[in-house]
Amino acid sequence: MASVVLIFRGSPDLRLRRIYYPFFLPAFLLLLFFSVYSLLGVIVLSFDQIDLRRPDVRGFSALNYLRLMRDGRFWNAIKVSFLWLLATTSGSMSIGLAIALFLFRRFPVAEPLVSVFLVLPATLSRVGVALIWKLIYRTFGILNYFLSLLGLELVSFLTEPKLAFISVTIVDIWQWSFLVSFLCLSLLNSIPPNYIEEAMVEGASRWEVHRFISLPMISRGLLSVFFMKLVESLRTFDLVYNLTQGGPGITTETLDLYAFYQGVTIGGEISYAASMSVVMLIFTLVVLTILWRYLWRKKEEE
Amino acid sequence: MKGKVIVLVVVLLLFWYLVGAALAEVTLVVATEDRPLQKVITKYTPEFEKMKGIRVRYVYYPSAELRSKVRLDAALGTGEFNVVYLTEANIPEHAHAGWIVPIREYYPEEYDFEDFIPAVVNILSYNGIPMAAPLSAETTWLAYRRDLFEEEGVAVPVTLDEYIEVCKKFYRPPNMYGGVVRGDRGHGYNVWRWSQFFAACGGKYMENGEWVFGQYINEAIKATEYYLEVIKTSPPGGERFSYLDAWNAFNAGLVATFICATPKYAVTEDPERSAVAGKVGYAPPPYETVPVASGAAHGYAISSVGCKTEELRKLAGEFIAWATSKEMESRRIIEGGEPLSCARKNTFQLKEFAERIPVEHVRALADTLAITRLVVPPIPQWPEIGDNLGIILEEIFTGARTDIRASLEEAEAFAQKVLKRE
Repeated sequence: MASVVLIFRGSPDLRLRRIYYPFFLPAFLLLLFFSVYSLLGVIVLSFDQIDLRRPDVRGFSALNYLRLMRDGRFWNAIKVSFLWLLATTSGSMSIGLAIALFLFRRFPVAEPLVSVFLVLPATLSRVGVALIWKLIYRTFGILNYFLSLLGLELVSFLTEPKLAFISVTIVDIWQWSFLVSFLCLSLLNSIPPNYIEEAMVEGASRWEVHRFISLPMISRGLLSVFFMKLVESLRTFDLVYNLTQGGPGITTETLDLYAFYQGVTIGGEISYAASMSVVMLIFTLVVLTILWRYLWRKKEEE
Repeated sequence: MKGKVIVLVVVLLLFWYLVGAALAEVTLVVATEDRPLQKVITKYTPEFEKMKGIRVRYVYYPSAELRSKVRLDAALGTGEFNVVYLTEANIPEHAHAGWIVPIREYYPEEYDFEDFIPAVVNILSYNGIPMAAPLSAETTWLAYRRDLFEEEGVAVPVTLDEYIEVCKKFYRPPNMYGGVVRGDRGHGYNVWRWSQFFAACGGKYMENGEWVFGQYINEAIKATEYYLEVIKTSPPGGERFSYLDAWNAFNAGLVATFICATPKYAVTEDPERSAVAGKVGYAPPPYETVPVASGAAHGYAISSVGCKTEELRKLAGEFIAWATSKEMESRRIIEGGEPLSCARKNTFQLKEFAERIPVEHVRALADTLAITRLVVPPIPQWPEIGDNLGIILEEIFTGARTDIRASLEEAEAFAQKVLKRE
């Protein structure tokens, strides 16, 4: 009875919050429990010696982390993951922004329809996208068909060690750059139109309008889109696994894929795989935190 | 009002009983691969279900995923699967870990286990104890375009050098290529086919129960060089061809020769699914020093983790016996489910078998079976060692590595590390 009375005391805002909290609190607590429990579980697992093929072998030690330092394949996976992050984020952002700037105020009537098509690739499942592009990249696939029409030699997109990484990043950029362009377009449309119209009346070119007015005004929003893409790019497993399985050799093997192979398919060494996950978590947190603080502080200063 | 309440209670009780009865029905869960012979088994499963009054549910996985799913299920103690489909590469691993039980203990006598070909039973045994009942047996032979060979007066190659010459002769891109192999990494993929070349060059993984791969590095190098020569005459992308890619290229008439496994014979000879049906000849695979054909066997085993009670193990045993019985194998042969995958002696005596397979193909099969043996090591560590070797081989085939000796020595060092760990 007292708690019911409490709901009706205080300011309207406070009263509303008191009503809302009980509704989302159970789901929030459940999510918190599973995420914290999983996280702690992975950390504890990483200090054990659990091997699926030898269930009797256990032991608490930091040997897994020492082993990681000497594991060349682990360092290769770190390098590939870092390059992946760099390539897919910068690729998606630059292409997405370029498309948005091109489309901005160019087809006002058709823009809603165009926006729908921009979002479509991102709604496809990663596995579906990987399988479609695997067919496109095949030796006798459609891409090589067009190359042969131009009199060019057939290309092994997913087999050539130097080309495979580029081919896989193109798939990710294709899938996400259109969503990035949709988000950028929405940001551009949020700019009060009078700023742009005044600039155009004064004779500014389209590029000058974007450079001096549009882009500075949406820079904070762009930062958020950038971080969204950065975090999304950390999820590489389903795309890479279905396209190349990390091959040829280990040229496209990202850290999550290597951890999967070590823990699940090849080695059964789930503790060792867990240590890789912990390293990846620390690396991600550190990098993202530094990047966020640096870029956000720069924005604040501007 | 009282009447309505009584009716409602009765209906609810009836519903509860029916649901309970449905849930209480025993369901046997089988983890398996979706291949033609499995389709025939699935088709006739209602017959077994009616016989035993139980349900059988199949869970299908592609080959690579099946191995890891079955391993995880057993290692983590989940026990979702009662019956598991295993290959010769996984039997030692599962038997060593105690994840499967000896099959003879639960295989009813009336299904005649003795009728299985002894060599096939040996492949699916661990320390001399049969651990799975054979579903299919296969060997490796050379499939070649008989029409092209006859047209150009080319003899069927016997040695690997002759084979490479034939591959180079028929390398006429973009419409014809000489040979094609598996390049995709994995102990069941490129390593499987490469091991055929390795054994044909005199190489061995094990000798008298001891790991000896390091002593046969020269043979491994030779095998790799031969393999690379074949890849050079393959269609573009052949360095990472999966078995399916290689097989499709051959069936599409793009490749003149293909060292392949016998189960795919039915599709190659099916005019509706192959452009080369009726044009293919078969012969034992070429060799350098040792005539050998790598053999394999796949079968069903009883999961000790999935079948914790004796009753469930007996039921699983009965299912396996029914699925691998003489009658079911003859159905698989007649209904096109891989006619050359037979694992029973009885099948070779069937009239339908003789009618389906041309005599020259039977002769080639007999010649190949005479030199068939398991060339990969029957040890629990093989999947891990083999997968690592597969990655290294893939890097060699794609040109990411050029020093073959150093690469194979690295594979040997990894193998030693894994073996010492046990």
